[in-house]
Amino acid sequence: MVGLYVAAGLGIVALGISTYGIVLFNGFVKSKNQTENAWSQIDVQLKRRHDLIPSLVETAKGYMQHEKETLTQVTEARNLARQASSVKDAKQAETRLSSALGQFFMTVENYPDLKADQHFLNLHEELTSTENKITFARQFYNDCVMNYNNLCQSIPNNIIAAIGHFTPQDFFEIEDVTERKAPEVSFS
Amino acid sequence: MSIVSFYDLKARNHRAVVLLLACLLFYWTAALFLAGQGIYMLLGWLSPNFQGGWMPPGWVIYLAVMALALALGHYYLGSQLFIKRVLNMFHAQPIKPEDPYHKLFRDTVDEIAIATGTTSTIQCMVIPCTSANGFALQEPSGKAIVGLTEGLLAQARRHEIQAAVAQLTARVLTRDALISTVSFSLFAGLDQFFINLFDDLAEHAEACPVSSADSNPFSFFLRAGNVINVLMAQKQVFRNDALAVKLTRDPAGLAQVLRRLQRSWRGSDNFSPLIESILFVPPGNEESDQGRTFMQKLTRAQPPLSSRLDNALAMAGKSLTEIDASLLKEVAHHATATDRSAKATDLWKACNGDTWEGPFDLAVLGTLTWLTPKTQILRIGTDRILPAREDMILASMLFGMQPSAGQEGALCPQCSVMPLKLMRYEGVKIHVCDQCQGKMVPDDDIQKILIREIVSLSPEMHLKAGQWMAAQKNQLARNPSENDSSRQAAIRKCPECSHPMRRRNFSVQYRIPIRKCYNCHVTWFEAEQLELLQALIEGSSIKLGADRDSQSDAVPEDTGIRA
Repeated sequence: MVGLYVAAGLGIVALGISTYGIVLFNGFVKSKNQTENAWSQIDVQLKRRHDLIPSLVETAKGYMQHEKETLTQVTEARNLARQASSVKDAKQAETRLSSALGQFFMTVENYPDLKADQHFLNLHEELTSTENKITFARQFYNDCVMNYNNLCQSIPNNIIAAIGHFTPQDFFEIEDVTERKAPEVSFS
Repeated sequence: MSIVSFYDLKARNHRAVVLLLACLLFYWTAALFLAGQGIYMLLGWLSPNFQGGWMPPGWVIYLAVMALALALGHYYLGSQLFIKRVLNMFHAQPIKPEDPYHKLFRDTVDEIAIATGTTSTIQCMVIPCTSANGFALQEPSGKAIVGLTEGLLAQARRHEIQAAVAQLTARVLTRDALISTVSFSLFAGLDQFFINLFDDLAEHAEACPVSSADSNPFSFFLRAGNVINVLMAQKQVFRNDALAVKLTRDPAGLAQVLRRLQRSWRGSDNFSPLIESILFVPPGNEESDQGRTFMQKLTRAQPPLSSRLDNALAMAGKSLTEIDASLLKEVAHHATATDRSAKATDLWKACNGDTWEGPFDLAVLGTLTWLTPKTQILRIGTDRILPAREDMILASMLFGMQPSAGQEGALCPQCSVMPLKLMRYEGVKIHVCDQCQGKMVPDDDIQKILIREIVSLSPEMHLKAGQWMAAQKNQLARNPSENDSSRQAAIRKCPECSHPMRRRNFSVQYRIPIRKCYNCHVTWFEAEQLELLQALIEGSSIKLGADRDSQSDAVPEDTGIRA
């Protein structure tokens, strides 16, 4: 009789632990999927940016005839970003493209007639909005990665993580430290 | 152990929704029990055969079941009806994608939605008034509406609009918008019922269907609705501000928009303070924010704007002086842009085919139908021949008023010679006569034109505005009673429907004679009248900000603009 009670008790404990483990595992799956979805959202916005750049360069060509180097840099950076195969390459290429676009818009300040062109204004607005969406998508992705990494690394979740082969993910960080320095812009 | 993250807040807030349902159940139970008991006792008093006294258990069970059904029905349906009512009251309209300001609003909402990771679409609405405010509404199904006024869209910069949208989206995310919507639907219907019942309250219903604070005795019910909001989470506004900062990572943007709104007209005549829990900021002025009685503190759903601003400044690590300096820099930048406009002495010659014509000033250049961005021009005083698009002032004129090619309408009601041309002015489509420079503007778009500053007005126009104000004050001082001599003016017919257009002053404050067609809902402005109004309002907006800065005791100047 006592043995029966002990067996029942152990069974309940085992059931509780396994239920807890299942709940944790599901939490890992949910968090990982959320992280992957967040990365795909970044990808959507990056592709949108790639699609806008040719129209922008074409519009600017008519006005910025003496800025071929700047326009070429933007086009080349965009092509590199499109061809990136790995996540690491994509991060580097996108950072370089952002830098080229920043340089481009600083140069546009010297061309008031281009700034007054309605088509350019529409494209600029689209691009600005896309840049903001990329920023927010990266932000959301990093938050998801933080939650996921907390799950993977905290005790006793790391046991489930090891069993289920859930490994911490990398944040979407700026690759080049010099890129973190905001360009100084003077409007004098 | 459950991991609760920022993005799981909506799950947590289900408890608040359950509490709201409990409040609804209590409300309907109390209402039905009181009514039922009253009817039972009345029947007992009227009919000798009826027992009277306390209700029997059968009645109690029946009323309890009915109360539960009503509570659930109210939760799901009441908010929908209330939302429709609020949108009608605000005259809220869907955004127009071709309008640059509306597009910016839509883009900002999409950006914030990405930051939240939410998959549900938030609908955007715009309130066509010059006040600066916003609102958030939500249904139990999850459908949410976020709205901003034209005034806020025109005045605020992109990062400020982002902060405002983030705060309103945070309310949606945490379901605070849902709680506010449902709790107001509780009492707003009752309020309207009593307004309709009594004839002497019909005027208030027309002026502000959700009644203003003190004039309607049945505003008690609305205040009771506010108490529920207060009980739920009096500090929800601060929490949503913090969530907005977490979404945008830009506390300075929030501080800046709150400071801007503190100095602006927030719609005290458009929005009742009793529905302020759905608004971005309280609609009253700073004095009403600060000087609150105990009962006002209990029933006001929003803290004073200054408290929120202090919180935002603390999060940003900035002082009020720094925020004011940022705002002043923007005003100075705009003033510099205005200085770059044409001076009275600016003249140009323009090449029409093979012949050079002119010199013309800017006003005449604007009437030349053959002037295009590619037309060769020569500014007098320079020796450089350029295409018109490369001259900064002409580019502003050409691209600020962009004609839509090939669209000619009816004849001008003023000169009856030229057909009206469809043009884009301040991001809005209007009809313009090239001959007399009269403009026909849809009534719904007047607010947008007056509050926006895409087109820089010349210093001469600002001077004219000052002179006009001085002349107006002198005239009123000499003859306080309004003498509308314009009644003798010639009758003009609407170019669209040929109805006679009615001549009237634009507003009580700005007595500029205009003509309105009440059939087509358009307004006819003669030459320079619209620009004059813009200059007057621009001047009053800067003055309003300066007055608020000096913390004057004077009542803020009302622009007199009404939808």
